[in-house]
Amino acid sequence: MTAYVLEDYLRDLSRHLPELGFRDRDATLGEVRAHLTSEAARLRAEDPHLSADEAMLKATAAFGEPSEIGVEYGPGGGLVRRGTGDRILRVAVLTGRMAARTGRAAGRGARAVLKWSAITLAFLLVLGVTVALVLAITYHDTVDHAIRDAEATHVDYRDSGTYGIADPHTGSETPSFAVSTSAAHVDVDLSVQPQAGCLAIILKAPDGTVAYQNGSGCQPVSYHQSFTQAGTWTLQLTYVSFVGSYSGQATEYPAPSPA
Amino acid sequence: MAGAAEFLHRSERALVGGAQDLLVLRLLQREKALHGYALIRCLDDATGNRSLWKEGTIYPLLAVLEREGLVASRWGDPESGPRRKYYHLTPAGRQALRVLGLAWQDLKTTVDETLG
Repeated sequence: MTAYVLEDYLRDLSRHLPELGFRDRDATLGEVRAHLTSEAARLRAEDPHLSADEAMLKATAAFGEPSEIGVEYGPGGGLVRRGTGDRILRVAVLTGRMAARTGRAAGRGARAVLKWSAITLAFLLVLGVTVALVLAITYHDTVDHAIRDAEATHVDYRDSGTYGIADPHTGSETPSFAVSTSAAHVDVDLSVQPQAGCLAIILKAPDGTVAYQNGSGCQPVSYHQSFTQAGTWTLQLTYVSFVGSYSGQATEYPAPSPA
Repeated sequence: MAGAAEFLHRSERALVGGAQDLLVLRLLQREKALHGYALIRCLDDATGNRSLWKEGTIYPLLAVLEREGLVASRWGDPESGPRRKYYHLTPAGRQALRVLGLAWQDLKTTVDETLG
């Protein structure tokens, strides 16, 4: 062990701290100075026969060679830079155990949540199916009749159109629709919404009588009426520079089936 | 032979180094706040003055622990003599101590059983 007194030791130690920044190096040397001073004082208190230099030599010897201590501050010691594997190992040691315990606890918790979620969903499913079955049995006939009635409803006529101001429509159309003899009634819905021009409508029943007309057709109109005549109905649509929208529908409804 | 001696030296250094981390954290937990010199003296008392490591290695270790957020430090006011830096455990340091303590127990049990 090379003989040092305090300042020589600190100077040598400083040479072995090349990677530390100025402030860190200053702080480190300050700590080491305080340490060695205290240790030398303790040694002299233990053995009053020691001189100040002798006590300091013993203190620096116990502290370590500057080159060895300097290494601890460098990449090998981990202060300046750690190898990736070293860092991973260190982190793994510090956190792995806790992570494993947490993971196991979390796993147990997650499995419990999943188990009870599955049980709850299964219960709700069974409950829902049971309710549906009860309702189906109770209202079977009603539902059955409604389904049959809905399937029997028939749209005999449906049309709609929109004409923009850049393309006003002029012309005439004569659509028709047939209402079956089994129909209880037919609902006719007509709508004209002119922005400009006119759309005149005439609705004729199978017997040739005029069931409805909207005059010149230059005003907005919404028409709904039920009829019972079976046969062929006709519409006469006359467009005159018409800008706007038109829609028409005829729906026949069967006679209600016996309960 | 020289290679074997070097290997043994490195192995012993690794074993001692790992234990030093744990002991330092434990002492800081027990004593609340210590400067480096007081920590060395506590380590000597705890290990029966076995001098398992050079005293100077405590300071770079404390610097690493501070950088990792496991300890924090403050400079004390010098009542007499040079200023000293006092270290204390952070919450992360207390957590690390718990984890490291458990890891040590596992390792000790495994090694003891293996060595028979």
